[in-house]
Amino acid sequence: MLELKGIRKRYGEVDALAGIDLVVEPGEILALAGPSGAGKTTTLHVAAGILSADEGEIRVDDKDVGKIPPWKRDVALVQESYALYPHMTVFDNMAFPLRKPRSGMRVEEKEIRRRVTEVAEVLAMERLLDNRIQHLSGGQRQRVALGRALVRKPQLFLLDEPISHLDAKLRHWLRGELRRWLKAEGRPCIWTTPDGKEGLSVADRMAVIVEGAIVQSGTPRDVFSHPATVRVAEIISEPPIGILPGEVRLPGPELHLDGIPVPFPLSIERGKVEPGPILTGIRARSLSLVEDGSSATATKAEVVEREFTTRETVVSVGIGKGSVRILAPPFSEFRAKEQVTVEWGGAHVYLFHGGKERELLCEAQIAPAGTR
Amino acid sequence: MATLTLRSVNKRYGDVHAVKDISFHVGQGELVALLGPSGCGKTSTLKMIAGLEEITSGDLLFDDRRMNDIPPESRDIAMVFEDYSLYPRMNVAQNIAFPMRVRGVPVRERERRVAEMLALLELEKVATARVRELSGGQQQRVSIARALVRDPAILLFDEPLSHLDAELKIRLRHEIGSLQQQNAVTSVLVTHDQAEAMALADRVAVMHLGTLHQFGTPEEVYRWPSDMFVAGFIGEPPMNFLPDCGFEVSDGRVTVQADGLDVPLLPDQGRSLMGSGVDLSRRFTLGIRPEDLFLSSPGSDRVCGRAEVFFAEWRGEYQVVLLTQPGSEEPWLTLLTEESLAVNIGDSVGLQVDPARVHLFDEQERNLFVGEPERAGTGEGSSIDEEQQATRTSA
Repeated sequence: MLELKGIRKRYGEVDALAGIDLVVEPGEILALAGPSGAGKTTTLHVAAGILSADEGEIRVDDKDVGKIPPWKRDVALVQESYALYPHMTVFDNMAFPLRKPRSGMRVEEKEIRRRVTEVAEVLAMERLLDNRIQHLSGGQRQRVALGRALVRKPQLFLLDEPISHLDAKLRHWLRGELRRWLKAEGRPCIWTTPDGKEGLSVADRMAVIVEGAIVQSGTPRDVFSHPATVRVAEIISEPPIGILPGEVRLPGPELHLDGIPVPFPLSIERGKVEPGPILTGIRARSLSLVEDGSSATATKAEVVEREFTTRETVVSVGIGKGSVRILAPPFSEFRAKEQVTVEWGGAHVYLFHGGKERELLCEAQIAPAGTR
Repeated sequence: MATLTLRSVNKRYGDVHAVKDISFHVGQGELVALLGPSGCGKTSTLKMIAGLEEITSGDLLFDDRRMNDIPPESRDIAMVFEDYSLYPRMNVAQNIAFPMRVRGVPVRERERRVAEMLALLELEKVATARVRELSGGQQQRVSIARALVRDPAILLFDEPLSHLDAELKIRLRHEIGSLQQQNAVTSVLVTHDQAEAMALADRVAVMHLGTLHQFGTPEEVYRWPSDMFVAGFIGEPPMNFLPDCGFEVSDGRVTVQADGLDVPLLPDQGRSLMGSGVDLSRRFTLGIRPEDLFLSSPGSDRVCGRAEVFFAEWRGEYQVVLLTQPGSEEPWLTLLTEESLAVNIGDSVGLQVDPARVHLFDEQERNLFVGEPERAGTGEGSSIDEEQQATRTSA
């Protein structure tokens, strides 16, 4: 088990890490997701011991490892920069940790060959083993760096954006291969990613880091379904979640949204909300476009733009000073400035605090059309 | 604002034929995406439009005017670069004003336009900040503002989003889309990211090794890809390809036989294939998109094959399931399904395919079904249960 307790790291005036608490169980993959500059790499470097924290404690299997130098910690750290030996072959790079074991334990050459070949198969690199690093593409180098970590049986896996430079097809398969491998190894693993979606798909548990602090941690399903703050909701929602200012008024409660003349009756599903200003988060799936005049909970709005994906058309619609996104069938054409009618009835909404922290207050449903 | 036409344009660098006989047209206010992997010729094409590279042969027209010999500064083009290319010593407002200063636009007019751009791109708060103090997303916004401020005849985007994190990339993509669509600026976008091309473009030019493989709307390049390259490049996760397929014809019905999967074609697909003169004794490649492959409902008699679940990725609003052939560890097929379906590693599953949406490629990698875009949804009924159809729309 890996535990980070109250880890702080300051660079001059800036709190790079403002008190990080994380627990990663054996065999668990924790995805650490957040925008660049949030502190993901710094957290990994502190956990690996190559960067010392100003405050806090790091425990591995209940032992304080803070005083143990990094080369004695038996950690497999995959750096975003790969840090490979350019003059060596792929095989020799991957075999390196076994030939120069920091633990001092010797590994037989036959065993080295067996392990490197096995890992190379997982990473689809069998044919590249004799190539030199300088002749490889970025994606291939990234796989060598991963391979070098996997050949060992370390105490900890720390993977810094391990698949960010691979093409789409390989990324899909490697997510699966890596997850299976790591589960079988049964060690704690932290996997960082700037991509919330990647975090959802690889994690047993996901922690979202923003400006040096963990804002939320939980299962992917939990984080996706109940984002703790506006920032978390933005990081994991695609298409982007619409955030509209509004106000909750009693009796009702009723939701008044800026730019919409009618109030909506709310039924609260989770949490609670006091009357007052709030921010409303609305995912693209919650709303639909309908025929004009078909419903009392529908309002008119103007198309800002449309985007196609292969699965749906994402229509951005202006509401007050903000906008929301709505899904329409694939390849339906919408023109900017075109008038459409948005159905709000039945929509699932997140209500966030209007203040600085913008934390989730409650989840609610706008009363379905026809029940007004 | 102008239209843009390329007629049989070629680019040679010594012995290297980088752009091979490319022709396309960008209408007034349209956005065309040049899409392809590195080395496909998309950037060379963009540079020829901008006048940064000479055109070896062929014609470049803005409206009806031939532009081949017009120097870049007289082409009335604005460009947004991958690396932003801002002036580091100037602040945000000065960067945006620069192209107008060069052209001697009067101060008052300049200030008005800059203020307009700052508001449009939500940069008011950082107007006096130096650009190096800004995040990547903000810098790219400044660069877009600087391009738009001139009201150019044609706007060129060179991989404008490649440097940005996933979340920011998608947000700025929506912003570029809204600026371009609201203002109807004739634009060309170079990208290697198919999602970006699909999202923003009115038409997509798919390029590979200097050749234009297909020029069509996002729907056309997705639904009716002209060949295997286009089919594999568009779509995420990518299309499944099953090589070395044969045909079985019995009672006038044609079945495609792949290793581990038999797909009965619709009657009109079979008829058009038999009538097309294609030699059915040859081997073909079957292409099935992950979203057109389904886990069969229990008891269904329309199972096309069996597979084992290698891995299932939960992506929030859908799942990606990776499949192997039973007993194998080799990657085989990728499938998209609804997020709530329980899928476990090691499960043995039956597969169903929507034949109306499969693709067949000959040895030259040409799509045998293209040229009859009406076939999807025509009459004689898809063999997929209705609840499975619902799965697709929710995925």
